[in-house]
Amino acid sequence: MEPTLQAVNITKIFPGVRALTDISLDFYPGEVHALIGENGAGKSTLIKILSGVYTPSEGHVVLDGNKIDFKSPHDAILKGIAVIHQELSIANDLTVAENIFLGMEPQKGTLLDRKLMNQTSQDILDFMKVSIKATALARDLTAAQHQMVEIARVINRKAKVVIMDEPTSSLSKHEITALFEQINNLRRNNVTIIYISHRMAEIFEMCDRATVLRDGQKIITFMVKDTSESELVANMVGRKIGDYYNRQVHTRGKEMLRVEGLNRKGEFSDVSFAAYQGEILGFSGLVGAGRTEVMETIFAARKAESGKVFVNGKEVRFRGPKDAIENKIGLVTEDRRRTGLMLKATIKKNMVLPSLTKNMLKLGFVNRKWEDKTASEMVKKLNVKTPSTETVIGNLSGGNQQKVILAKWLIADSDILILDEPTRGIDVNAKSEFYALMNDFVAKGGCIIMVSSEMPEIIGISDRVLVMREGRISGELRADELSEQRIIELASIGSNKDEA
Amino acid sequence: MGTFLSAARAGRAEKIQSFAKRNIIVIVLIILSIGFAIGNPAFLKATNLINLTTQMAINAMLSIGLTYVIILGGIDISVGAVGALAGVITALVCRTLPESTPLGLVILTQLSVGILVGILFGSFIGIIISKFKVVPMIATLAAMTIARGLCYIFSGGSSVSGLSSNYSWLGANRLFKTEGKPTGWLPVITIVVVLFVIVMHMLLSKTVFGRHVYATGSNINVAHLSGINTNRVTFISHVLCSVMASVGGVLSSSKLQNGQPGAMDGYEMYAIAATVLGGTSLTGGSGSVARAMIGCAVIAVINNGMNLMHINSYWQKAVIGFIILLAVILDMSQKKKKA
Repeated sequence: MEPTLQAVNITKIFPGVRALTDISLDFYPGEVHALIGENGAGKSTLIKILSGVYTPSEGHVVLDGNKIDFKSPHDAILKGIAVIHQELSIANDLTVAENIFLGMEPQKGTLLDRKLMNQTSQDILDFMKVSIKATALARDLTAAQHQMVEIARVINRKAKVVIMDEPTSSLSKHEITALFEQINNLRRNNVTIIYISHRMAEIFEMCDRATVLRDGQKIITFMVKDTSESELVANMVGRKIGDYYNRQVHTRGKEMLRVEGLNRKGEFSDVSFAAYQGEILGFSGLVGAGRTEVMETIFAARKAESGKVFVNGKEVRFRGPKDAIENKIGLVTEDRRRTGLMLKATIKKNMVLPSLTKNMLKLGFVNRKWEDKTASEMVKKLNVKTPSTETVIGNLSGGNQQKVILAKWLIADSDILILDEPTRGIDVNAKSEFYALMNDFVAKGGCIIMVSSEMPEIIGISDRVLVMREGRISGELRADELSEQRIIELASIGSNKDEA
Repeated sequence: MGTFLSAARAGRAEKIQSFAKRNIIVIVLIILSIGFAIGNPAFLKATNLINLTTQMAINAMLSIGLTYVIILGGIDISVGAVGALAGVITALVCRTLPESTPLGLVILTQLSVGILVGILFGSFIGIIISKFKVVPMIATLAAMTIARGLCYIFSGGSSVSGLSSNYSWLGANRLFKTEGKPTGWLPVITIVVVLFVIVMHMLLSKTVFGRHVYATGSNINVAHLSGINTNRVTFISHVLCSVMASVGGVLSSSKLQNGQPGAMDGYEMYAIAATVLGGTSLTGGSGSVARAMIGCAVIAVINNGMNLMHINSYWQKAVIGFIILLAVILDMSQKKKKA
């Protein structure tokens, strides 16, 4: 059997960055092929080349045995390559049928052939066995249904290759099952599916083969049935998992933070939990479950409508982040470029910002000597790769930027660190270093609460995991109970607590 | 991710590039000075250069305060009007003082009244921007029209004159009277402005408050999440700006020995131009008082030099306008490169 799509020696270089090096891959008809790798491994770049968004710096793409040169993404679509992105591209104000035929509307003479459009769309939807009306307005559908419409569009286009990027990240369990049925449908019709996901359970359920990318290179391609989750993750990170997460043995100490009945209408309700010295408490859940909102409320960046917060057993009422910081809490935000860094300022200036007042000289002057010394020490201690502390932080890599933000809170003397997606967008080595720093912090008597949407990470580093679903805590898992299966269950359907 | 351009290389290139960009205005100043010196050698005479400082003085006062506000990412277009109002009110108050009032008391009155007007207007502006979240352009537009209106109301529409000779000491007097220079050579106004420049520059560049201003202008979210009271920083910056403007207005009215309701009309534009020319970006987060002074110097040199060369004064406005445009384009292109 000939492969439908091939990448042949593809290399992609951007100014100053080598995104892909000599990638050669085959994709066969009727195969579901997983593409896995950490953030920054090169998956998006490869997909963009395969779908006509980028052209390779070296190498080429082969479609049905012919060397091909996509002139544009539209060209790729016309040739049968379809991408279903994480951010779905559905036009809310159009009907389902209009969305399905977007870009290829049928015409009767010069007029739109609406009858044909609706009929064909309904046929496809019926064939997919989904109960969606072709004449329904896209706005009235759920996210999962939007995804079905995208698949219908792909079927309508008679796509030969369908690339799906993290298709299940916002879906409930039974919506995922429905999606898998569609994928099997496509598979039976000899469509090639390239499946990008972090979710090991799904890869093992659905995929025939899996290719691991790391640092822009193809590491290995496995037959899924011949490998295991730990082998895949080990290849993703490039070293033994134990070493990767840099786990240390730490013992749980006294309670450092306790939250009781925290409420914010529309965001989260009745959130109660405690975090202890010497532990890394993971917070898992689907996007939109309310985790970031809870953390921002604890830090007093948002106001709680009701509920109590206790630090070291004493009730506290924070009026703003300043109070939280004085109580030795630090927050590493989800979006470092928007809320974590002063991009045009130097590393030094970023690091000392929350601690200036505490360390100032008489008359309010900045203590330059303290500032210089502390910044240099931190850069060394955290191994931040930079020529000097005067470097503008916008020039650093994501991993080094995160280290600077962590340093900021270490300088501020935080005992409790709240980390929101701390390793998003940083490369494998930086991640491992970051985990080591986290473990170090906790071993020295600190407490970390970590929000993360990456399964391997949450499972690999947490001592305990709380799962949130639709604004409530749906369950708690101890380290020995941790599994992707359990987390997804709690995140999408139900709790392991007694329902009130 | 793949291999990166080494941070070292990027760092060094960055340093050289930003050094050149930041000091381009100094080079421009030098070139302009040389040009005008060639155009009329009298430009370089000591008396002319000293005159330059007095010509810059008022604009400098306005620019000092504007620097804070622009670094914050905001703007204040009321500085001219507030300055004029301070001048009018100060003149009115001082007119009630008897001619025999000692110099010290007159100066004290001038400065106190001026600063008070500045605090009042600055607080007003500061509150509506920080608490009511009104956009700075609109908030200061309102302040500008109110201040200008009050100028005419308090002065009755005409110049407030009949002031004691002590009134002009701050703005017009010179120290160190010698044989060759019976009127003195060191202008008091220059000393006053230099003092303010030093204090305000140090406040901004060396104190924790100054850092908070930069941080708030750089990224208000980060500043807030780092424990900074960004509302308070905004409020205080606007008070400082209006106070500088008021003192500038007092100095101006002292120089002219009257209080004019129409004084300093359009001065806000030159002040903003000077601040931006000096290298303070309108998008906030960077700049300094010292740099604003270089911007003021450029504008003053252009005016002074063109006068000496007997170039039609109408051209001066056009030239300055053109230079401002150049400066903003440079500023924008710097932003694009970084993006």
